[in-house]
Amino acid sequence: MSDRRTELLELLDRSGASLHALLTRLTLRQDVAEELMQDLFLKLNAARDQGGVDCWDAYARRTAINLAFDWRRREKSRRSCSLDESLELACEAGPPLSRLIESEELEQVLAAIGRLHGPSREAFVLRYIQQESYEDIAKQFGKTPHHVRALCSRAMSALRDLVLKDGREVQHVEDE
Amino acid sequence: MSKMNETDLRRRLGLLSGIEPSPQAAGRALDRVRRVLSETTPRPANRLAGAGGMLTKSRLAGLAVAAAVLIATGVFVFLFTGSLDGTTAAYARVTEAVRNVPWMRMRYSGYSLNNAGNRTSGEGERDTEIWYSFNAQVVIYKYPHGAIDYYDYAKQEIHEYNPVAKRIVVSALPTGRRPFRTDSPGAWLEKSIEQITSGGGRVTREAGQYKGQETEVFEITSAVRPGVAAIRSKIFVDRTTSLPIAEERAYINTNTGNPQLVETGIFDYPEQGPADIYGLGLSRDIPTISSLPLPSWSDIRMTYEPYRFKPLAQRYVAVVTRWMIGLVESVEIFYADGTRFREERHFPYRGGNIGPQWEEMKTELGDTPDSLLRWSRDYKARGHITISLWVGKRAYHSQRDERGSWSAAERVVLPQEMTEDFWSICPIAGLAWPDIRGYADIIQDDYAREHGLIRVEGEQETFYLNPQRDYICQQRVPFGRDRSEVTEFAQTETGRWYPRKIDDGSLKYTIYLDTDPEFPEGLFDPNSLPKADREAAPVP
Repeated sequence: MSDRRTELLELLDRSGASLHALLTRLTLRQDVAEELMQDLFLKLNAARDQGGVDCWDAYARRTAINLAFDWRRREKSRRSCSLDESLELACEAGPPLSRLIESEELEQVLAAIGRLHGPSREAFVLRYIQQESYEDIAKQFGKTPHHVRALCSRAMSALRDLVLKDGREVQHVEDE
Repeated sequence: MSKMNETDLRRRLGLLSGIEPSPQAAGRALDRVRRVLSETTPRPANRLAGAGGMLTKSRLAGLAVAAAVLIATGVFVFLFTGSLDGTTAAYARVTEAVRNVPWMRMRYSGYSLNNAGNRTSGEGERDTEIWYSFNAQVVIYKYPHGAIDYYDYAKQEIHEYNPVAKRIVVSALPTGRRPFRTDSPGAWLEKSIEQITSGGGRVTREAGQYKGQETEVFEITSAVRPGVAAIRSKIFVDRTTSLPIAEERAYINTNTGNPQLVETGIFDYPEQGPADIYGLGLSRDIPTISSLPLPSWSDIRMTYEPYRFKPLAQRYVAVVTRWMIGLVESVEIFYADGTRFREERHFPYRGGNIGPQWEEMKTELGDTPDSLLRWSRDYKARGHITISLWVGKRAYHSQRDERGSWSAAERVVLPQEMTEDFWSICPIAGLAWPDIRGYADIIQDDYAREHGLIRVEGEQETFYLNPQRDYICQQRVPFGRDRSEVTEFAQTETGRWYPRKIDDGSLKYTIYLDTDPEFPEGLFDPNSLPKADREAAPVP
């Protein structure tokens, strides 16, 4: 077995489930998450050839986040809501209609997160969607927890502006 | 779109963080990546080698153990083959010396290397300790990450310490599966010799030194086999005691000629050995659980794993419908005809409000395999459709979007044919025989005992396997989540079992399987794939 394959298989064993869950949360589509998992490991395989990656787990997470938001951008023009979005949520399961509405709302939040920029978006996703501690994120970023806290705080503030603004705009259109 | 306030925003972030893909979806995604990795890099010679590797908890630890087996037996090979010039007496002395010591302890350390010659493993990551006692009929392996296997051949038991769950599980020791036999040291040697010599090899013997000590040096070189690392080993035997004292070993990548694993073993012969598994440094507070008379998960896994990779038939059509909240969410169809394969995925609905679509789609889909196949062949889905075709080493992919536009067929040349890999991407394989990764133990409960099932407690989930039905995972319980259960079974004409219906709470699966199908003309012909807009030229 080649070293590269072994490394990637070990990464898959160690973090595959978590990466797949991350992709599912960011795409709200299990079928898309599956596709992106494949893309992710093909990219990692290629990156391994080029070298220069110090921490594969962090690199894989960053690449997964980028892949998911790239996909969202591509799909934006024709995407609204599909059955897959009624994924099993951790919250109380309501009737189908309310779950679909909920999915639509999640789309709105994800669209706004997609408008954040690189490190800010990544830190925000790791903190608020992956529920990682500031300390763990700081280690991945090579920064202090205080720095990450500030990054997330700014991202939350920007996100708040984005979703509240979007809500008002949409409300305005609906009023018309 | 609804208006959102701060509370809504945080609540929705909480919802996002709480989303968990179904275990089936996760398993399928991970299996698919494994398959892709096997296509993009050289494949191991035998896929089931991985299952065997689990015996030793990890492939890398497995190499160390293999090394230890070799050292403990390699020097004896020639005693039986008698192929060396005048050295038979020397080997007999070594054999006799090892038999007469109360305990033999081997401590291996080493490191792995990448193709550039740089170390890829850290300090201590390869450290393995092995104990033998011929008289007590005990063999012990202590692995780098804390796992311990204590084989008691006198009692026919194995005691395994699981460092993740922090428990010891006692299981039965089946004969014929382990590298050692229990009746006598002679039998043990004989079996090990069979393993070593089965692949051929070469040995030289000469006088030498090890750290200033006069030794006999046995240099063993394994036969070169494509895809299998070649082994170069030097065993140093004390001239006075005839006991082996050290080994230097390298595993050579036969593709590059470079070493990929280097190990050193130091051997000593204490008067006293560990009286039980706790004697290896475990706290007496660690509980011991008996799964007797069942064998350990390592052994059961060797029976379980092949089902994951063995297709139910050479020719088949499998239709898998996935239901969510009472609606068919997707229809997947797998066609296999020897070495030709076709996979289709149909998503019935366009994005947007699904309600009205379901009423219409329900009629179009029907509820029989024939109606589902007709529906799929007419491409009546309103959402995405993807079709993949594998013929020999060529793969073709085509997809249709929600607007009804087909993409041009994409052609890929694979390093290997799909063969049995196709079965591993069919949902039946993953649903019936999920990948049980990481540390796991057999820990029976009342439910398992009453239903004749084998309960496998893994790191994240518990699995109930049904040994009466080809070890299908009849029930799967992810920690803290809904259970998934096979609610109906079916059997092929050749007697292989498979799940007919699966209920995992939010998702339900129905599986239709035909193992004597008639395939429509052109089903495996890439030129018969739907044509893209403005595409006219045949697919090469």
